[in-house]
Amino acid sequence: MSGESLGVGEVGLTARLAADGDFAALVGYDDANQVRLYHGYPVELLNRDNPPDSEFPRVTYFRATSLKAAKGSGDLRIQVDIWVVYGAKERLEEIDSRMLFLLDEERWLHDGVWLSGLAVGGESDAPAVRGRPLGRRREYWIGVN
Amino acid sequence: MRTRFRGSTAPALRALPEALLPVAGDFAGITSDAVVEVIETSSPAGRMYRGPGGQMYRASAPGQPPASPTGEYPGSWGTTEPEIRGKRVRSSAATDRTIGPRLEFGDPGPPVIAPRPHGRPAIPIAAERIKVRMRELRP
Repeated sequence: MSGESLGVGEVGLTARLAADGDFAALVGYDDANQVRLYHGYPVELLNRDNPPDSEFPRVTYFRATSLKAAKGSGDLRIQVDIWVVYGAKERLEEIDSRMLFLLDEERWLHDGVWLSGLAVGGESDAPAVRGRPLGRRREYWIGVN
Repeated sequence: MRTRFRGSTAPALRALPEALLPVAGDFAGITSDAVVEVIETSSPAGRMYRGPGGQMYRASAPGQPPASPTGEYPGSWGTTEPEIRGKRVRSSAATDRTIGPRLEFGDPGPPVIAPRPHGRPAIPIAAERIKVRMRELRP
């Protein structure tokens, strides 16, 4: 079915899933070497288990981004999109550091939208977050469960 | 479960969209159910009509979700097959009934149909339920 999407800024039909609906996902291997998708992995544990000079796992961020009512020539649909952003570095580039504020231990605010479970990392010039620099040489993976 | 990360996780990243396909389908199902619920829990306040079987029923008023005396229309709602579209994994709650968009957004006619929104009111309901489901997905 093809349709005309009526999205944000058009007629306001899109309801973003933000706040607690956002979370981080971590992709790794379990003990049986099977690919596993971990939701809301506690990054503190990740940091503990992976010192900064070790090879860090990649962090992938996804969320159910939007539900959008759309009309086509003969159908009505509500699209449910889960966005997949590969790699933390790309995500970090998407998120302007000026929009990233540490509000408390488990909450971030991004452009007026609550994010929970955001995991970012990689090389960056971003300012210190949670007292840890995101330096060019040292990688820290920061997130909230 | 303790997670160990060994070597490159690139294969795992490539597998991620596929892993999300059933999740997207689940979310679309939640959304479709919410649409049906919006329709079926509405109390029509429109005019009385004689239905196809000769029974009288009350139509919805403009602005209300559509009345469904037979249940045929809400029963037409379902989900599309989840698919990977670039960085998105998409599934949809949808109806293929042509009356669907005409009810949702109205139709200048003829015959003129005033909007009977039911998909849009379902969005915040579905969103809240999806949030709960997302929390449940956590390890």
